[in-house]
Amino acid sequence: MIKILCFPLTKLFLFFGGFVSAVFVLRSIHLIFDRALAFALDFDSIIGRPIYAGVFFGQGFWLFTLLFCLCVGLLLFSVWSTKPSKQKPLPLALWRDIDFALLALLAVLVALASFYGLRVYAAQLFHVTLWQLYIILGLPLLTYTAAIFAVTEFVARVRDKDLLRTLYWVRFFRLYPPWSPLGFLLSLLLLGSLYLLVETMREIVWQATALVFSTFWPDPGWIDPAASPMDLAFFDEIRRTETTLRTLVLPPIVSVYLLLPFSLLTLISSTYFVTFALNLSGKYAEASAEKIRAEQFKSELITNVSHDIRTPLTSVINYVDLLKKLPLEGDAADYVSVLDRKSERLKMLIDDLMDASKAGTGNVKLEPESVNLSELVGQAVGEFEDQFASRNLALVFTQPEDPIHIRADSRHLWRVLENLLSNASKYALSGTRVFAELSLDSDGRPRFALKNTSQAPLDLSGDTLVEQFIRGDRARQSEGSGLGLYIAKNLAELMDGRFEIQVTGDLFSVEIGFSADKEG
Amino acid sequence: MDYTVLICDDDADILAALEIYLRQEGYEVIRGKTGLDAVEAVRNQTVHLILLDVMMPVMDGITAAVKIRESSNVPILFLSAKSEDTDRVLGLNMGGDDYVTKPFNPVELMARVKAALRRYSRLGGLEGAQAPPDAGVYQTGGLILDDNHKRVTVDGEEAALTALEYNILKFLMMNLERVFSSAQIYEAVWGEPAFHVSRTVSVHIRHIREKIEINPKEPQYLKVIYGLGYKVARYD
Repeated sequence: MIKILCFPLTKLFLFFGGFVSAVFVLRSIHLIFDRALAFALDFDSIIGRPIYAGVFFGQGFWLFTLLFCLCVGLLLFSVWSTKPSKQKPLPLALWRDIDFALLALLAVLVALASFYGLRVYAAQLFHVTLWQLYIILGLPLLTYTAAIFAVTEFVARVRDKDLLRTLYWVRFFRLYPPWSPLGFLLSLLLLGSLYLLVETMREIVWQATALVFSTFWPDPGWIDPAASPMDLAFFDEIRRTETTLRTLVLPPIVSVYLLLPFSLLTLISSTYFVTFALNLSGKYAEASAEKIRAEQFKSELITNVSHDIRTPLTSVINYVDLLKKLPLEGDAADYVSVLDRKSERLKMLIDDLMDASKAGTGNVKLEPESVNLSELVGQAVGEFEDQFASRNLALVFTQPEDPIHIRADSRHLWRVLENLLSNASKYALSGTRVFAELSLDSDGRPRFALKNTSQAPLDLSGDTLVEQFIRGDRARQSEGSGLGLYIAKNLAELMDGRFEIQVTGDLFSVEIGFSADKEG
Repeated sequence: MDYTVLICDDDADILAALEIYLRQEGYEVIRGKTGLDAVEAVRNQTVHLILLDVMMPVMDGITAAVKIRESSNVPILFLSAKSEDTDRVLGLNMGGDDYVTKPFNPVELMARVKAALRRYSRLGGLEGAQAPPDAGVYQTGGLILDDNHKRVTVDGEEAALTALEYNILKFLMMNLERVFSSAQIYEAVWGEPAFHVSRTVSVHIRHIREKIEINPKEPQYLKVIYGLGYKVARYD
């Protein structure tokens, strides 16, 4: 049974069946209103009076309502039961979005109204031709078709569980709720156009039935020549009453010509605006989600790879250490010594790699607190005292009279200072002085500067030095990991500090600027 | 006393190397490959210390530690390639006494093993007796400062401190867990008003750390609180 329902022919049959029933139902409603109005206005003479082309079918109101509901109901049920085909043919694809279906509906109604106008004026200017008659009769069919299209699309989308995804208005208002400026504007537009839409449809339905059955808007070309002048007067009366009634109920804007284009325009523009906004935010959300995923993947990759490298490296270090304990002579001892140095360097590299990756991607948990910067720098300088002394470097430390307090993560700030001092202790020229200066600049902001004379000639600019390890295009001359400056710079900048390197001849200078502690 | 150490790792080469080191130190060695082996070994044999890898098949080190802790207080040292702070905290919270990252320094590892065994035996894990604290003796974990004899020992081994270093350590150990700034330490130990002393104090602290800590870069007792000062941690 369901299979029969799903045949296209059956659907077509149900479609037209629904239309025919709708026509008769509308007529009957029209007649009922007619009679109710007459009753209200107490025109006793009406009750027996024949009404054009319609009273004959009056008794069939309930029958045709039932038929209408049956046809449309079965049609919708068949749509629901039809399995969606994998590939939607292009015309149907255009109906994918309910807003565009609504748009189409309105477009059809525009056609309706313009033909109505054409008909009215045409009747006045020309004689009504058979051709016009067909057009006029076709308009309700068009309306019905558009309505059925919209409803079946709706049902199909509910069936495919696609509805919420394609209901633009829901998504839009989730992103821009009515109390936000954009959402408020759109709400106004939406409410306005909905109101206009309702009015337009009311107007058009009214006009459509009148067109088909020409009872309320009698026209010289349509009136039964047998009608008496009394009939004409009567209908004039009814029309005037009706108009009065309607103007009492309706607001001043009644003209179809005003209603229709305006509501259509508003609906079209707001729909486009909404889809545009949604697409934009959708793309933006996708782009930033993509970026976050890429960063996460990168940092996870580095973490996992470094874990995997550590395990075999453990055995290398262990067995090199065991080799060192064996009695080795000559070349063997030298080779082992090389292995020892290089495996230690690998270990240092792996540790620094993890830190660099975390600092570089901002994957560091900062716990800012009030820090006595003077104490911190003093502690760091003292830590490296022996290291500097062993390379015959004199560390000169100057600080202001009063202690400086800032707001920073002390652990990571220590790491930055550690890297800088360690670099200085390794790369400064033996026998020279290293200057560590803690001071306040002219704006009262704390700054720390470390200056030393470089042992090796520096042929690179400050920025390149920081990135050199990443680029990998300079021959490594030192035993350091090379990532120290990179880590220090990134950590400093993560803590909202300023990190600058200046190279002048052999003088290497690095400066960190902090923001003053707001708590003081 | 002959201690038996259980080593558990799924990497055979690491196990072999560890066994060599431990035997060189005079310990008996039992091997295991999974967490399950560790749990069974503890149940069936006398074990004085466990070196436990974290990433193992069948049952990982953390789960094994939890199971072992249900019935035994034996010291557990985690050995792992996972070096993140979160991993370390997890290991220590799940019943580990120490957490050593791979690659490790074999010398440092042996020192930690020795320290853990001494702590375990001295604190009554094996002997069941606990010496009552004397007046003038300050103790935290394996670090003992005996003011009556002016001696500082770490897990039984004496540390040679200068007078200044001794006084600094004593001052901090008299107030365990309390953080003192460089200025406060200077005034208490040197007895002079402090002015820009953080560097000086820092140098001495560093020397103390090098003498009493197994790994001065990762101190267990004398901790640096960056930007504030120093303290000696309390271990019960």
